[in-house]
Amino acid sequence: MHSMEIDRRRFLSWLAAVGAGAAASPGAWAAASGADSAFYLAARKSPEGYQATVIDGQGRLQLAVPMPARGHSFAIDAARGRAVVFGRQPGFFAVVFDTGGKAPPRTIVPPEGRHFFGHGVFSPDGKRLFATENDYDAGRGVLGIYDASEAGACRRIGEFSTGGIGPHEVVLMPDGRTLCVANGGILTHPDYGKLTLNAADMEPSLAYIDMATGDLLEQHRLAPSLHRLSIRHLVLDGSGAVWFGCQHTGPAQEQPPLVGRHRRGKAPELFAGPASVLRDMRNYVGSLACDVSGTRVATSSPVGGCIVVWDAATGKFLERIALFDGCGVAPRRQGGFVLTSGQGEVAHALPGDGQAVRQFLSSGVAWDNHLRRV
Amino acid sequence: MSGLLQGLDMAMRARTAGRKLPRAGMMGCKAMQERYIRPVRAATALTAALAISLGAAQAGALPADLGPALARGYIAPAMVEFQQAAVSMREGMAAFCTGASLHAGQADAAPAMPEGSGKSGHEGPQASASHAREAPPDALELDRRFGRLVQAWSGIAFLRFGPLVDSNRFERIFFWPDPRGVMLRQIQGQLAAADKAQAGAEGAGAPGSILDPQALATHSVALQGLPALEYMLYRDTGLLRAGAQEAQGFAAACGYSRAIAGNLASIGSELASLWGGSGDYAARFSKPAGDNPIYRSNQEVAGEAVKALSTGLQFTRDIELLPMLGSGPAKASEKKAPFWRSGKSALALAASARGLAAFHDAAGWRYAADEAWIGSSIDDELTRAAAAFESVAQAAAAAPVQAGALQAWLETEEGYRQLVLASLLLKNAKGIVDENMAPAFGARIGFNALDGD
Repeated sequence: MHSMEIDRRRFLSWLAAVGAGAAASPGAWAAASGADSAFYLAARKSPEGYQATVIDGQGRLQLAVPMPARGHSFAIDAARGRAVVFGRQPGFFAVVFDTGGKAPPRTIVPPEGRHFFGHGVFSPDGKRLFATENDYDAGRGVLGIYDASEAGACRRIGEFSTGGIGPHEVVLMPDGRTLCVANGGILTHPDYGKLTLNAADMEPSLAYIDMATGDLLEQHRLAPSLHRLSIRHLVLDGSGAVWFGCQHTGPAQEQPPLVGRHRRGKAPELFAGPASVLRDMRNYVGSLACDVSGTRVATSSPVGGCIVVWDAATGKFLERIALFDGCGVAPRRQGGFVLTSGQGEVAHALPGDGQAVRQFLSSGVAWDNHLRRV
Repeated sequence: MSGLLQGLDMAMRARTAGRKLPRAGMMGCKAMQERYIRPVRAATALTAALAISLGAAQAGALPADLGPALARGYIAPAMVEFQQAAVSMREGMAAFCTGASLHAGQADAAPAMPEGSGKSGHEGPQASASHAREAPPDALELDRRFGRLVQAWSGIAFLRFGPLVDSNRFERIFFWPDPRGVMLRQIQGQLAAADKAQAGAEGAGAPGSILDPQALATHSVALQGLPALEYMLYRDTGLLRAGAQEAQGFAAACGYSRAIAGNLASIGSELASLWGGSGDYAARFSKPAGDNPIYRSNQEVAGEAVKALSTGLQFTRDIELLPMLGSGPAKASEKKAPFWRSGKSALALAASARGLAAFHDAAGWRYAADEAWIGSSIDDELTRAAAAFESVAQAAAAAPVQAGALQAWLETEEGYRQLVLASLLLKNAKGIVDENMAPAFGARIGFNALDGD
């Protein structure tokens, strides 16, 4: 695995180059945090390179943490004011940073034979960090367990099987001790980037795992005819149900439902919405969010250039919002959603408005897939 | 090594200095250098769809008959060539296995290389003559047929939408890359079983066995396609090796190889039919309309074509070429390339580049006057890449039925340099497709969709 060694070396030289205190402009944060405002996390590509950022709801930059390569999503420990950004798959780095810019960032490198998939979650007490990872030579998905306590220095202390291949997003259930993992089912190997190596026999699933023991508590698969429908992104609605967004890896002419809801102990339900909307989503959901009321779920499709909003109680289609290359979506504090696009746009979508209203456009900036409210 | 790269970098700059240089091309050189240091681990999502923004304003004009031009001008003939090459392989295998002799004339009906690439000499009389002394003529003939099949496949592999994606056809034809060795494990297990069964029952395989083409189609995709056939023909104890006919397990190995060739012929026939004059998919691709379930407008057809070019270039370079180059000549390994066992890696890469160029040409893209350089640059880069691959194939062609020839050549500075040059050309071509060609036809490619996650 000489190439992994090269990645490590590059990563270390990058660290030396940017220095440990690379977090920028904490002053702006201090000024803004006094106001009645919400903050969001997003990875981006900017003229200065790849960064993990804190922005406000209008898209104004509060903090930028440099990264050695493209980032993806975040684990957030709000109580302790910190977050972790994970490298985009196949990710060979993660950076722990203080969301207020008050402490130097710390880096995590996955062990030999593992890479990050881009998502993770903290335990409620902040002592553990779980990250979806690829045990790529064995071709199995794992949750890497890191000691996130003060003394732990984010050391990796073990791993749990996710019960499937290609785990992507992981979320913490309302009970505070169960993790829900989307096993996308797609086998990849970092020698071949994100190339699907098992298109013919994918087996995506939704798995519930006890974070204390690693026990697989419950696992659900979709109908066999939907075996190429990769379950990838998750969000909880106000009732505690898990909403999932899928990417169909089969032929374009097949247009299976891409959005579903699952309640523990029951079978997953899929929601197709109107045929024309489903078609617009182009077999691809890149991110999900639930609004502050807990009743509206947004699913974004950067491939189809739209964000589709669903009623959390009934699964009914509510509205479609056009935004080219729009993927990042997070709840707006006053209702509706904040959206980001790969074209540098930050926009608001108010309930029932059916459109994205631009708040900020940063030239030369490409916002990455996920926008997370702190 | 950095000197080698610098030289290439400068050569690229000098070559492109005379024309309006695309932004991506210039950036590409630097990025390439960096990329070259770590050729793997790159984010490569070839299965994700590109976000094609179908904007109204663009400088180029889409040909009104884009779909039919591509379908009739390139796709359908390429599918037919694959089918015919597979049928020829199937017939060759049948004769070989039953001991019937092949007529030399039979294979001549098929061109060994795509148009314009015949000068490689790989399949030429000189190589054949020198080889004839070691291998029986039938093995040599099968090698030729396998070479034609590999090239035909390379000409359609990038058409990864519609029929080739449906019913797992791509994976059934080409289960590769296979970093965990799934194919070997499965073949060895199945062969042992088939061998036992064969010893008991004469003739064709038992129902459900891998010795029956129809049954094989229901088995794991890893057992069904070109890499499996290549393994059976070219492994150390492969069917094309001297003395194979007398070796133990010949009947099962032969029966299985015939079944693979038969299976490929039937997949080829499906592809040719779906893309043929009265084929369902050809009709959809050729007649975009509001009620067409796949292509609502000519721009969506254009988006599909641009995506096929872009991801085809990415696959050829990032997946088929860069891994074998490793981090330098000392780390280069032909075994990371497709078709290394048969020594046909460079031939396959050349056919991919030729195919991509021909696909681009068949569309009849009409560039605006100040953007005419886009089309000619794409052609130019692809033609040069194909020539580089062909010259590697020629240099390594001393022993066409053997693995290892490319390896020896890879370890020379000249051989390595040629493949690095080809990788730079492919990178440049992809940069021009993504950054210049796509926007010229109103098909902007999004940041989050280009490489989806």
